[in-house]
Amino acid sequence: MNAHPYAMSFLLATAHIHGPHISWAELSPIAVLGVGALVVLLVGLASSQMVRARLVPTLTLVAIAGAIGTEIWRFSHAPQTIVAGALRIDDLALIADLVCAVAAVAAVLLAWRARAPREAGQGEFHSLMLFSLMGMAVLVSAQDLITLFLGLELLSIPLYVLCAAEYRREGSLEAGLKYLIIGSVGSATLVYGLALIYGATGQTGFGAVAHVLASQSGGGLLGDPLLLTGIALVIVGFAFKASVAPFHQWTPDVYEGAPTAITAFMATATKAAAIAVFLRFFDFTLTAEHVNWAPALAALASVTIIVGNVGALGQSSLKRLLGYSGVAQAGYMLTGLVVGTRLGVSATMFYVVAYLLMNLGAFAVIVHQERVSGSDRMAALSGLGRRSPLLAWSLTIAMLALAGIPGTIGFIGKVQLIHSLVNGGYGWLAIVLVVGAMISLGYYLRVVAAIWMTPADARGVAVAGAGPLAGAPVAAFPPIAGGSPEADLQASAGGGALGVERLTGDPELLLVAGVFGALCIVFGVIPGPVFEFVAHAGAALVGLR
Amino acid sequence: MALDWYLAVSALIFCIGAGGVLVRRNPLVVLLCLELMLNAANLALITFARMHGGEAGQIFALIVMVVAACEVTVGLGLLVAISRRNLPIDVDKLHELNG
Amino acid sequence: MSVVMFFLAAGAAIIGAIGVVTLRNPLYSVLALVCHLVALAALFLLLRAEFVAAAQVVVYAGAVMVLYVFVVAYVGGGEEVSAGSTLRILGPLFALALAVELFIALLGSALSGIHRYGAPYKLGFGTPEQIGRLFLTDYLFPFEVASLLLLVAAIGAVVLARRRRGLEEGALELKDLLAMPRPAYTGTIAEGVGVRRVREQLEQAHGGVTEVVPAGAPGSEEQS
Repeated sequence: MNAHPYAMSFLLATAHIHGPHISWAELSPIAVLGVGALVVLLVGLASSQMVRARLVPTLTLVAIAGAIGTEIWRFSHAPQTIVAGALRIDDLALIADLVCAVAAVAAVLLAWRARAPREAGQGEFHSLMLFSLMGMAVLVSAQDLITLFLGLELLSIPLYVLCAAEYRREGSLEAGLKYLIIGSVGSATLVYGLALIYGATGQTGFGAVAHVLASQSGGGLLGDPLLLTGIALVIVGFAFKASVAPFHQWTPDVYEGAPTAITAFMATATKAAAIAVFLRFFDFTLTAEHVNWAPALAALASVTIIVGNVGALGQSSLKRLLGYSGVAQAGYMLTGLVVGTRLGVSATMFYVVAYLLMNLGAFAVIVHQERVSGSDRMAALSGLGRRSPLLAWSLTIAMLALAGIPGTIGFIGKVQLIHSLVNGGYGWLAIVLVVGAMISLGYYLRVVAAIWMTPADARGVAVAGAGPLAGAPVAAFPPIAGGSPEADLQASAGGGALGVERLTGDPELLLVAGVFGALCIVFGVIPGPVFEFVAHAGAALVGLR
Repeated sequence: MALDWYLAVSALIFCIGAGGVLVRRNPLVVLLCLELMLNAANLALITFARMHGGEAGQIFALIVMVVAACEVTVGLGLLVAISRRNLPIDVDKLHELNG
Repeated sequence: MSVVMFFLAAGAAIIGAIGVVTLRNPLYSVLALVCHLVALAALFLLLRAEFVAAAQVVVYAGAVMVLYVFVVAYVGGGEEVSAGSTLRILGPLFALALAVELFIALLGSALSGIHRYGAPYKLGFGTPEQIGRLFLTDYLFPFEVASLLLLVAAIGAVVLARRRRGLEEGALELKDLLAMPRPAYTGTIAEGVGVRRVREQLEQAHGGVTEVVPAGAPGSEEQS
């Protein structure tokens, strides 16, 4: 007898529910990635080795290319808030999407002959990568606390698995576990902070939160300890993701342990997504609280710049060095956020683009190094200039750009940041940035020196620094297969013929290194197009000066 | 009960979880402590949902539960993989990466 | 009545949480967490979150914790050594500082709703019907993404925890074996006709060094 009213209410409910309007055009960058991930996963089940090894990565590249295409198609349209306020597709989101997608293309190419996808399964590996990319797209367009959190998790959880993809190498599994635990601490902190912000404002939509805060300006909610605690916890949560000091300790370890293609993806794409969401959350949602969070973030940024640069000084592993350098670079990017102006947002996004171009070339060379000499020690670089001039030049350019030498995109990026800082009244932060960049010369130039030293000069260094596997023997002679088991394994793994070709580099590595190295210089000399590109990002955040 | 009591309980659980993450070395227990932190967030979310009289907090809490389940699944998968390789299951003993 | 319920449930939740952190045996920690989760579900009920409370008991305490129990049994947690001295002191101190900070935030907050009993009750608040409606309307996108996230977790668990052939013994694949450096003359016709044995005797006599033949070099093709 009770069934009747329940059934009635159920019928009524079904009659009255109207799903939200879904504008597929705006959703397409995300949808393409989701569909692509599912297709890749299914194709990966094919029994043919050929299909798995070649078709799956190709399909992955096609899916990412599709996403890039839709992103370019939607670029500089009017911003739209879609699917019941869950997402906002604007130019800031699209620029960050594009950066992440380019990083993913490079990562797929770097993983083309790597061990990780074969051990994890081609379909699984690539679909997880696409899911992670989709998580980044969700994260950077999130317009709601719930979507923000979900995007962050969809970004991170596949990466935890991908870090551990080289199942046979203990370092890989441990990197996965370390990343999982630290990442989960970060997201638990973040979600508690989000809960407090929801509690203080009673809203989950970014627009609604910003509206509540703006309408209360001058008293009441602003500066309420509950809200401030929430903001502090959110900063800590994001800081874990963007590897901002003092929450960066995991970075070098995980970068070193993870498969290098995944490291490249994490270092560039994750950081770009984290910085973009930092921008949206602080410079849009919490912009009314700017007086309260800006000093905290400025302090974090300066600590990060110093800690990252000093930490990188003593590193001998290239992946660890780039890990620490990534920490320092995250500090540079944070400075543009602190200012809270359009100029600052544009400068930050410019630096995000520059950071992408500078790092991917370097990671391509590291992948090559690991295949040839079995290690990423700096000493093993000696003689690279003779063996493979293209790779050597591209690593040199990447290092000079990261250090901020004029003529490279890194220089323009730093000048932009300093300009926005001085303009926004944070001159002292600009000084910290310059000091950090000067410290960074100490380790970037060391890498450059290692590349161009002749093998004869380097022999002593290499033997002392890298042990018997790497360095001098490989560098000095044509490849002697059997000289070391690792080199042989690597050589046969690639399926390529032994010979000089092996030492000059695999074609896809040469492509990645060459393209990104060249872009660092091209945009360093002619930065105009990038300026116009990132100016859209500053305009996307309404309510900024 | 006034809602600040619930929030106090939530804050306490969050801190116990955070302390546990720092003190314990067995990754299994560290994962459990992470659960505690997420559950504390859930309690806060549901308390705030009650306070504002809107269900957004409850929806958020359900999503957090989904995420917690996913993190646990991957974390336990990693632990199983590591135990298959007979590696030490101890956060501090993961020497491979130090230095 | 609700006051009594609150203190019972809150006490059980906090004791459970302390149990998770302090108990030495991971299995007991898992059981303490189950206790904690059930107590938390009772608190959710008091806050009129019926559906979340049910999901908490059925999914969280029921399913996720079973997963834990299985893994504890498989991995064999056992006793653990206590943490290093610095973290052992710093950890609780940090937690205490965090607690003080959070309590200051709670007590110092000027939000009107916090120190009251909550918004007036609406019919249908927190019922499955209402939650379901919201998941299909206002929160459709998070709902869909959450389903993808579960798929990702399933893929991840399979990738990480499946058995790989030959991995446990540390065995190498055939092509790795083929690529391995090997002593001179093994797997060649020379070995077949017994030249190798003569050479070995010579080497033992003179203390010679085995020559390493590169894989892929002439000679290795004869290997089969």
